[in-house]
Amino acid sequence: MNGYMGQILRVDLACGKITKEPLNMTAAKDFVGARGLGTKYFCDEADPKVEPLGPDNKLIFMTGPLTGTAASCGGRYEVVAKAPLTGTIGAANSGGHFGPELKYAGYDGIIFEGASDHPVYLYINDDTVELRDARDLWGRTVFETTDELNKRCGASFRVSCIGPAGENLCLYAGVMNDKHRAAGRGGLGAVMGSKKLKAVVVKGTKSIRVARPEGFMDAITNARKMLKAHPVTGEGLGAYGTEILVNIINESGALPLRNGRDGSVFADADNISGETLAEKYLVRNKGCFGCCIGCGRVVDIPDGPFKSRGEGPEYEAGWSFGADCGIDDLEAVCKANFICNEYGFDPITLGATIACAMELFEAGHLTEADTGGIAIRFGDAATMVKLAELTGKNEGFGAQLALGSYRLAEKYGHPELSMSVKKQEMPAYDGRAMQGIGLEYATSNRGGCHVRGYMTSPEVLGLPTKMDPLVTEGKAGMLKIFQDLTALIDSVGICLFTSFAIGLPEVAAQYREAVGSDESDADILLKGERVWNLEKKFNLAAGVEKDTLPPRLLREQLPEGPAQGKVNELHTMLEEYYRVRGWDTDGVPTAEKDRELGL
Amino acid sequence: MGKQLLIKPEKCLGCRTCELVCSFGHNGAFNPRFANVSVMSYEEAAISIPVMCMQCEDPCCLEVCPVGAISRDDKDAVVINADKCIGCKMCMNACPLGNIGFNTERRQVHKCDLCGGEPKCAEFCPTGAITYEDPEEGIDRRRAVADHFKDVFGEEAKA
Amino acid sequence: MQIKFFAYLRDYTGCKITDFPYQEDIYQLAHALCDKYGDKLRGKMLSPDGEDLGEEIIILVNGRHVAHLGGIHAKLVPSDIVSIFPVVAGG
Repeated sequence: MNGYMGQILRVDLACGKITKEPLNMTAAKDFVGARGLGTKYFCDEADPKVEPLGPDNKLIFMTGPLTGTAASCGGRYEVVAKAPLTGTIGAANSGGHFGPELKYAGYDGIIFEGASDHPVYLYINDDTVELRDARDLWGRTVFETTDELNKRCGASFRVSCIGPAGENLCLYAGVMNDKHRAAGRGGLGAVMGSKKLKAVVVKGTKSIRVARPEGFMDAITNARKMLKAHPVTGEGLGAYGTEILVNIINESGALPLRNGRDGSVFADADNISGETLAEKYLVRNKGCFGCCIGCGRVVDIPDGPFKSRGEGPEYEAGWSFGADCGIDDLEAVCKANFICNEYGFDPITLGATIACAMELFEAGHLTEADTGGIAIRFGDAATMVKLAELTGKNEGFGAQLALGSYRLAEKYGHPELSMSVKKQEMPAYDGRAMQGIGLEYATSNRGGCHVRGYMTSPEVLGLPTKMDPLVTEGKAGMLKIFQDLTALIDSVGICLFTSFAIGLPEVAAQYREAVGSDESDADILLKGERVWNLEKKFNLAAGVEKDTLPPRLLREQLPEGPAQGKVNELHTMLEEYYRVRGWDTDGVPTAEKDRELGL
Repeated sequence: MGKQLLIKPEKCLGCRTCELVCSFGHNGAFNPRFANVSVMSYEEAAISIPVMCMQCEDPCCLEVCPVGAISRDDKDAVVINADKCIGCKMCMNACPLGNIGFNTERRQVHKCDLCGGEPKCAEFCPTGAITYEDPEEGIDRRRAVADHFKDVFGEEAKA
Repeated sequence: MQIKFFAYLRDYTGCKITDFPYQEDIYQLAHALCDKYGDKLRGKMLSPDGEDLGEEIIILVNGRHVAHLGGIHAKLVPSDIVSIFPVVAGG
């Protein structure tokens, strides 16, 4: 079937009915797979005004045409639903081994509808698909659930599940697979929890075919050679993981410090860097399915109050629990990150929410009477870890942290202290020191996010071209290309990190040979643009707030560092961005653009 | 001796690229279950180990085959002649290492044939966890042991 | 002047940070550092003819990428802090 299995599962959780239906190949051609195709199915079937945690929201797991093949890092699947944290389209993807296994079982995706009245899990063993009772699994952590299901179903099954955070409807709970991998952002795990769906287990024995085997082999060989030869994907990421960024972002004056209150230069950054992680705690690096980069970290904290073992942290978590909380204790950072994997929630939002609580507390907007007697101050590593645990368990003040920083700060009268866009926390780059990433946060279709365009690449790392982070010129045009290419990469089912070494020609070549297409590179990139515009149209129909940034980024000048005195000049970039997107001045896609994209 | 597949589990990422390119090379489709190599991952020990046929000097599969479908080729690989094979699966039972599989789509037994002397698993392994080389040419492992002795007992000349 | 090294460049230099004699521009600094720390650093730092910066290096002067300061001929003052990275990325 040329990259696709040609079949999806539809599971009605309310009545327990499971149907197999042919994949919509017209939609697959236009929206590719994974993020794009999942979003297309979602938009066709769900009301944009749907309550995210109500039974009418749908939850879609979708793979891409390259998922499960030997394409460069082709192990991704996407989870799509309306996101409870933001109210936007929610789409988050994950690596590991779950997505490929779903295809080997014969399915490109699964659409979950309705909600069960008791906890269940979906069992898939090739053609055998059943909803099974999960009452005894409810309340268990991601690791416990995965181990138990492997014991029950067999060691070769792959498990995607939620932890207690998803069950408790934490607004930033993730969908976790292979224990440590997460479709992390936007709270899709809470959607799964609201449906009482604890897990999906899958094992498959079917083959994935591609349209032009010889051409495909050439395309993947070329892409893999480029990944191997590139210093980032062939050397740096494997040796140091994504935490390698801590020092360069900090030296560039763009590492937000203490909720962004104290600028973006952290004197103790090296203590939480990838270099320190590798030197002191790294056991081994690890790859997802089909990976040739190996950025995964198996990390061991051998003793002390944070004694633990797990995977990660990524750069974003290193920052959120580290610099953002004013903490330079890497052991505490690792421990907090492991708690996120165990309970199943997003470390970016959790760390940034704790940082927001720290600022609220130090400013006197939040008192010990509100927090159950806990003094929440910047730099207090033990309290940070304790708060992560409380949030995972939904206990005490943790239940308030489970709402994310925007709702927390709003409750205590200071929503401007939430460092979020569309209620989702911005990650580890200061939009004042990097103008383009500010524009990226403001325009991201799923709220504050760095992997919807990754302007860090040209602005700091010089890939594929060197752009001055302090200027606004040219950022809108570059961001549009990055956003469309990212949407394409997420939709074919490969890892975004490949784009440090390969570009549109290599992605398009793998796609073409897999599905048997003769479309040009430009035609294929247009599919990415189509996905982006579909997401935007959903958000407009859902009534999502306009594209902007927190007042801190727009008005508070950076106090020191290379970007001293800077704010984000969003208004100048946004106008140009809407123009290059072919949208009107309010950011609404024009009829002409709709026609061009066939929307 | 000639070249053979060597594994270095300490370098393995657990990415299973070897399974993919093996199944694709032999069947023209991606299916790890029909690959001649499998990667076993041990979470608690943080290690992944690729396992494949080591082309025994005294192969049980070859001896047990009732129709003489298994032989050794000029690359020193123990190979199955699909035209002669009757699918009795005696070789699967005889292999003490479990390195003969059964492809349920093609209804055939399969094992590593070293891809005719250019094994895809070694070619595509991103870290060198699987290599195809003459173990007597490289004395890497003995060198590693010697290096360890040097680190423990050696006395570096002080500048 | 203060020079900071990061990632595997630290393996080449054997230090994270060093006080280095003042050099007038990046060109002189790059060559002086390579002379001191050897060919592994040189392979990353400079193009094969030594006349331009290598493609696998990121040099920041006071946090600003040298590409935006004049490249290899960017002038230096003694109080400058120079941070040197291999090309890295993540997210």
